[in-house]
Amino acid sequence: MISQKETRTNSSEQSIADNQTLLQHFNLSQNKSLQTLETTAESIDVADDTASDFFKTVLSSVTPSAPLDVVVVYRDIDLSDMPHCSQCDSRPVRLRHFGRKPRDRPARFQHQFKVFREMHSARDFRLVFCADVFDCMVMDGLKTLERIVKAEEAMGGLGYLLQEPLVIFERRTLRTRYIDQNAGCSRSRAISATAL
Amino acid sequence: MPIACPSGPSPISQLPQEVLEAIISFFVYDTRSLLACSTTCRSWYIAAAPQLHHSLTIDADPTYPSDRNHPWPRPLERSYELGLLPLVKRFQIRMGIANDAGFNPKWLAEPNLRYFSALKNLQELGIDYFRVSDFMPTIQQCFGHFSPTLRFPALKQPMGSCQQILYFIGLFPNLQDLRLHYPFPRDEEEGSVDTTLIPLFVPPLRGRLTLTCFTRVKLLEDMVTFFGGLRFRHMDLFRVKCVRLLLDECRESLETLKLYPSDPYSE
Repeated sequence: MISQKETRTNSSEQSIADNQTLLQHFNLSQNKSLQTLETTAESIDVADDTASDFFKTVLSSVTPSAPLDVVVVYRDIDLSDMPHCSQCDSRPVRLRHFGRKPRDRPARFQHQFKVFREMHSARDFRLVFCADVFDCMVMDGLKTLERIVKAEEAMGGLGYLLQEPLVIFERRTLRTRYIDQNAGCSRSRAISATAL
Repeated sequence: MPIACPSGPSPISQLPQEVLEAIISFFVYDTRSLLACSTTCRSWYIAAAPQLHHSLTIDADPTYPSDRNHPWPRPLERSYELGLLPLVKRFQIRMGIANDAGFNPKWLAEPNLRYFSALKNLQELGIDYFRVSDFMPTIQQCFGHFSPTLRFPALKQPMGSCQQILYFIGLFPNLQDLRLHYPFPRDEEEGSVDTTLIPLFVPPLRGRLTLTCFTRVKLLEDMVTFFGGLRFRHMDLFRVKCVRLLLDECRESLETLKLYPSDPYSE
């Protein structure tokens, strides 16, 4: 029978081996100009428990003296169950997320904040929250992110950061414009949805 | 009650055209306002038109009935007739699935090539299922007119040997960004090596590299060989087989790296 101690040792050895494999691919110690590491909120969710180890290993290889931004990109669906804009036709945004199920948002954010905290144990960085949303949704997306970050700050959940977190946005525009209608592309707005 | 008429022309009509263009360019995200501006007067139309007609996307997905009503090359032809193609900076040909054999030379048979050649100021070119191999060896005749302006080719599942794809990339001396997207990782068969197929130019490629489900290591190795290394400043890599090669090659230039923890070993 394998003892608990042996199991722990095997697990630890496996973890070291995994980290070494990861470093073979993502050792950034030679990339001296690196200023920003980007990822997506969705991939953190999908990676689940492995996200922290992944980033800790990658971050530990980044030159320690250089300042680093970690940008976490939130798409429309990451911020709202039913992304829509009251000002205009919301069809493209809905189409874009067709078939995706709304998720348990508070639990997801808690998981993400836990990952950020563990990442920071490997290396200092400035945390940047980026709302990467459809153009008409920019203000809504930005406000939602700001509200979430402020709530976490109020609970002291970001106290470990040496620099104030930033909330920014990336305006995602229609990839097709007026010319499409002129040219007879009647499905232009739907095209935009798939093109985003 | 009589309405008082302004004593003279509005001060805004006195603005130099370039200032007007700078102001109207702030509406780049607001198509309705751009449309309103374009119908105000001639100088406002001239300022708004480049923003309005910046992008043209042609969807050639045979599974959509609406696309069957506007088959290729009708949208391109219509834009040509309206004289709008020189205003287009971004042109995309999208296919939901590989339409017959993909984008091949038949798509650019005359008069379509004439319309295509009117895209004289194109900066971004997106083509799905681009059969590069079928355009050889006369690919320059179809795409060479993009040479002075093209900055960013975005290719979804380009088909052809690494050498042929590299030759296509090397047609454009001013490329900064490159996107190669494959729906899933796959091993491509390489044909025999053609020693005459040397890229015509060495593009700077100092912008963003986006690779998705990319397994064609030889293409990157050839880029290193023929272009004298890689110098991308930004990279977005998802399920890429040769991350190490890219990080090593761009060790001096890389400023931004986008990674996905859900793809820990990039394979």
